[in-house]
Amino acid sequence: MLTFLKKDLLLFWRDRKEVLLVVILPLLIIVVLSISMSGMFDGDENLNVDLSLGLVIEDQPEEAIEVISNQISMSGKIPEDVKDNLINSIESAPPVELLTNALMSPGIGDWVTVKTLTEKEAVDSVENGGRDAMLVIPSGYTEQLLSYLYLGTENKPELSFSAKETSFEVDIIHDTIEGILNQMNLQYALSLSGTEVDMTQIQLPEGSTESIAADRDFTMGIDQYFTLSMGVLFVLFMASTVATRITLEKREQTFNRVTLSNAPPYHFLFGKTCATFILAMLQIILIFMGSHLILDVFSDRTMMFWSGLLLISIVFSLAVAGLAALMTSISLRIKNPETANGAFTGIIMLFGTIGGSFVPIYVLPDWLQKIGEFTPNGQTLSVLIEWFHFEDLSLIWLPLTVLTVFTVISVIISMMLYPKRGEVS
Amino acid sequence: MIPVFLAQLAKERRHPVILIVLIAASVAGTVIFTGGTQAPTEIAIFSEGTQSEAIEEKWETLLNHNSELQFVVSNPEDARESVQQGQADLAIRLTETDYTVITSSTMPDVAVAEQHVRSVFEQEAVIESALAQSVQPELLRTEIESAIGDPVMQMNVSSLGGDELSGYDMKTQLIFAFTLLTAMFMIGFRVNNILKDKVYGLWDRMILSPVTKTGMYTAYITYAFFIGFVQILIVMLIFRYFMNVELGDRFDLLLIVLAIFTFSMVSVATLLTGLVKKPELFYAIYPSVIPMIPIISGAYMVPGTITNPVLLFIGDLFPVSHAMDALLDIVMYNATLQDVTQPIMMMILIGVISMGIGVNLVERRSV
Repeated sequence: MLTFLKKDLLLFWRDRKEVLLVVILPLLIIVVLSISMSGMFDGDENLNVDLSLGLVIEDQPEEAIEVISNQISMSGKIPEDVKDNLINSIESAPPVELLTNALMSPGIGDWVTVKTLTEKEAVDSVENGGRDAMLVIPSGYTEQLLSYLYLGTENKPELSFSAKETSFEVDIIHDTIEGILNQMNLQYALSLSGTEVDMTQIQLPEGSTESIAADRDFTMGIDQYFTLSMGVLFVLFMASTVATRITLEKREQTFNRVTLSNAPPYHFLFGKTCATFILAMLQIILIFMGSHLILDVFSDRTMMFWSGLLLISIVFSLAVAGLAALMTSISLRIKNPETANGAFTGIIMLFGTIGGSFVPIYVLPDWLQKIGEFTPNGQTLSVLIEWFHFEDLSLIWLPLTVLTVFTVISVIISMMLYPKRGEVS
Repeated sequence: MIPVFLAQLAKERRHPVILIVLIAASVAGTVIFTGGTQAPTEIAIFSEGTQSEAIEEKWETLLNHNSELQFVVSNPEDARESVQQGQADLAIRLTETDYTVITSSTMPDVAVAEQHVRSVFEQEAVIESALAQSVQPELLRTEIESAIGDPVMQMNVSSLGGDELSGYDMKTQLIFAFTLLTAMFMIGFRVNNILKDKVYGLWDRMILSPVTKTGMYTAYITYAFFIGFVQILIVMLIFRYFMNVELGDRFDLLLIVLAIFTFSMVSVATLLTGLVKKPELFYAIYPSVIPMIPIISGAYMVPGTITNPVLLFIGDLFPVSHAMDALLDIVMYNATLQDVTQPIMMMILIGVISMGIGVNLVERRSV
């Protein structure tokens, strides 16, 4: 029996360069993806991007305020006693200045560089990609706005925001400006309705964040998510890697010779299954250890966590080995190797997708999520995520049992499907 | 050359399963994923303790007003459980005036959702405090709300030329992303035929025949190009005529770009074929490398999501990112041939270089 295991391991050893590539590749991808994705968000979850906005001010606020102040004091509609207050409040907080101050305030200024430009400069820089977007405050803006607010004219002025094309950056800038405008609008809405609100007196919501993990340090970052999901995905690939090699053994007539020898037929299957298990274990350990050493994803975890991780890895590797056994039997029965290989690749890609290994699972529609929970990789990923947060054995033993049952069933089916003597194609 | 080409076509005709499956996969993948991503992300909200229903009802309306996210009232256990198992990134617990984000991760979308929730709660806090001073709170609330509904300061959003800056159309992007992905699989499998025919001895027999070496390579490579392009063409036609997806006015230009992409990808696949010894190894390596290329090239994400220079550089080494640039420019911004010259040149460059190295490697590698 062990001879067959040795044979399969030797076969892999013969192509060690390629096998090594398949084993190392996921580690490389995890590192590249984590570094690049987490680079966007620093440790405090703040956006770590460098955005730039060209600000074009064609408006003359000082003159406008003077004009409006005069009009207010001339106006017959506004009661005399309010006039002074009104003029004071306009002079103390001119709208355009509020807006530009808010844009350049430290909170926003950290990640949006705002520069005042002429319109032509702004258009040029947005056009050639130097700046992400531009905001134009048109001439006469303050005047129109204030007379709309206080003198009841009809014309409402508009700021104009333009960008070359929609993108992630443009959306962020747009939403930021929109946020500032919403706040200012709320203030105007309150003052129009005649209410004065002292902002310092308001009890603002605190908005705490509660981590669901057992320990606050166990919240999952994007690098940890990638390590777990990519690890599971690539180990899953191992099943089809092994199964496609059946073509090779059929072609080189290894399989025919095995059939002719006196070896019990299941030994061949045993060799494949065990070899898959060993390679899968090797790969998953390498991925977890490697990303821990490079990215420090599992720092400060207990021995308990590591042993649980090992247990989950073993159960999952067994499931992958079971899958490989199943594919081996099927591919021994299918005449056209092309069809078999295509089908296996397809099945693995399907499992990977609906099991949430390529994309977070909540992106998928509900019914697909339900199916995805039953794939071995989807099951394992959710077990790993729970284990990562809680280190609680009572949460994971049931899904692990399900995985083991899956393994046993696949092995049994693969033995039933395994071609009897004379059935080999 | 032509008989070799026809022989492959005959093989395809006898076993068309893979071609059909891949075509179905690109259409189905696009439909499933756009169905999933177009629907707003649902976020569970719940409240514990007395009066929870009233609180949930109040905030559900406020939170869902003017929001791209969808807040759904849920019961506390379900909400916590789905966060626990990683099916949702966050849930929100509400109280009368405050909220708690329940999460287990530091994913970007948590921050986005929290920002929205915070602004809603802050606005409500301000309004509430204004109402507290008033004698007619109901009247004042309608007044304030109507004033907010017709804001004083407004911003007009446009593109540089003054046209409407359309919201980003993720669906079109995903259509192309999936079409290119499945085409890459098809192209790879067909270029792999060279290796397969080598190990089965077919290649040696052809060498002995009057067919020239150039003719042999040309036949295999043009066949991979042909079948890849046919697949893309069928998928595009399905989208255009059966599913009525808006693919811009320049369908001809679109096809030119797709053809150049196919050529470029055939070359990259040839290069990868040259790097492995046996067709089985190709099956092991190719499917794990290929799905990563669109991810790194940012084909599944809104442009600008990936800013890391190293990643951008790696993405640029493969034709996918250039093809996506050109295709999206044509469909969304009505680009002309001049506008997409640069990505086209890049694809041709990648194609020529990897074809040169690839054919050399394939030729030198003995099986």
